[in-house]
Amino acid sequence: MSVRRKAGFTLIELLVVIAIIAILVALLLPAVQSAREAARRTQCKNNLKQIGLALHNYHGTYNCLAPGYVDLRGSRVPVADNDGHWAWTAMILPFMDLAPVADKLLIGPRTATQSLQVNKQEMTQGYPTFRCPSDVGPDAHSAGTDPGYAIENTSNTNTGLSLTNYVGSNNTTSVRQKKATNPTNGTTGAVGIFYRDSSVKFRDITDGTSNTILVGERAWKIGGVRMSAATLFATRDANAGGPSAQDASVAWNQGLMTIVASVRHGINPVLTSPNQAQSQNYSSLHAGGVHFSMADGQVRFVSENIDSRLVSPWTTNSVLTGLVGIQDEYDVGEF
Amino acid sequence: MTSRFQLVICNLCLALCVGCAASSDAPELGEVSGVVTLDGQSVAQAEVAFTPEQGRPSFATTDENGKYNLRYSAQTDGAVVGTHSVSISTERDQTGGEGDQPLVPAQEERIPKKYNAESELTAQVSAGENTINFELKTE
Repeated sequence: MSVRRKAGFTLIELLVVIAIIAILVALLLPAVQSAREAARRTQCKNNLKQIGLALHNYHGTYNCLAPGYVDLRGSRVPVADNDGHWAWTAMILPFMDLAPVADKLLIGPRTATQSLQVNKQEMTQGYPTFRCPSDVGPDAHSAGTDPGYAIENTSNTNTGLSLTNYVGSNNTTSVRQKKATNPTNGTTGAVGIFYRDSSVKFRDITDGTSNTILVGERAWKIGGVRMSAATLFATRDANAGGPSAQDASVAWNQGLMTIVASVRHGINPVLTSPNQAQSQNYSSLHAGGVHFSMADGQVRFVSENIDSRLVSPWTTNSVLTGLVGIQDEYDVGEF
Repeated sequence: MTSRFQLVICNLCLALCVGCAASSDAPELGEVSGVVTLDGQSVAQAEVAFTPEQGRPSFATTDENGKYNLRYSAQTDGAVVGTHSVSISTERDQTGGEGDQPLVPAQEERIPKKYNAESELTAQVSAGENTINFELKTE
């Protein structure tokens, strides 16, 4: 009598196979997570590349880089508190494949406040090219949470603008409206590329375009504290004196810091609560640093551990501050 | 069959490598905490800044008892190991005041210039825990 073995697996064999598969999956999961973050970083880099190219194309068309913001004062429209001044992001829309939006908003013929009245949809929706995929913020700011990241329409309703994670380079010390009188000292004005009615040409960037920051990123939330990212299209006026900045009315919950940035407290600054001076810096949820679009068009990842000292008397004396200034003659070396 | 098996193995190795590729350029840090007093009185809401000879500065704000705990970046505590120039200041600009936010008025400088704008203070941070107290005097 012969015992015929049935074709199939024993229980032990099955358990061993399942155990092996479980170990393999456990090994793979962290890799999958970091591969996903790597993909998001690449997407973020691509967004910054597009913004850098758009600014280059703007320069090709108008022979200068886009203004940080266009000062509404002195135009035919009287300026009131909480009105919007058009920002650099609005200027480059036609070069970002967003010409239809730019056409609808009538940037220039209309003020940001007038456009918000008729184009609320366009000025409060999400724009993926202006968002870092690693970031967790909403599509638009809320006038209740961050009233300073909102502007009023012509019927004085405060409305939060579309959110962006990309901010222009303004200064080494706190953000300032006016251009610096001494390009090596951020307390004399903005030493970076974007400020009030700025029209910086590439030939003005004497430090070299590959050693100068053009645009960087800022997160919605880091270390569990809201940093509020930045606003698209416009920046809010403070008491008809232009957007709030260190050389105008200073209120850290609004104004110039919502469209441009400083390196006063380093990359990924220490935040203790929202709407403080620390929120004017660069930050991201990518581990260990942020992406910058340099003025020559390349996109660089810069570590938060970069030499970023800045002490009284506030002259440019570290690598990061040297990267912000356009004419500071600081030798940044390898970074 | 063999080629498919090799492909699977290759993908696995690649995925594992991606997972392990993260490296760090973080410098050596030391944890720093202490108490700030001015003429024997503890100083609340003062910003303490430690600036190293090279690298990234660390900041902290004192609590109501004048106690501070230095932070290096958004996610990390401490300061770069080495000699630091220290600045302690209570000057602050106003915040809030829009919408429902309460207005937090500006704060004036209560600490002499030799401890901030023209700071002569230095501190030595070593690896591990550091307790550095500052006994400031107005004179």
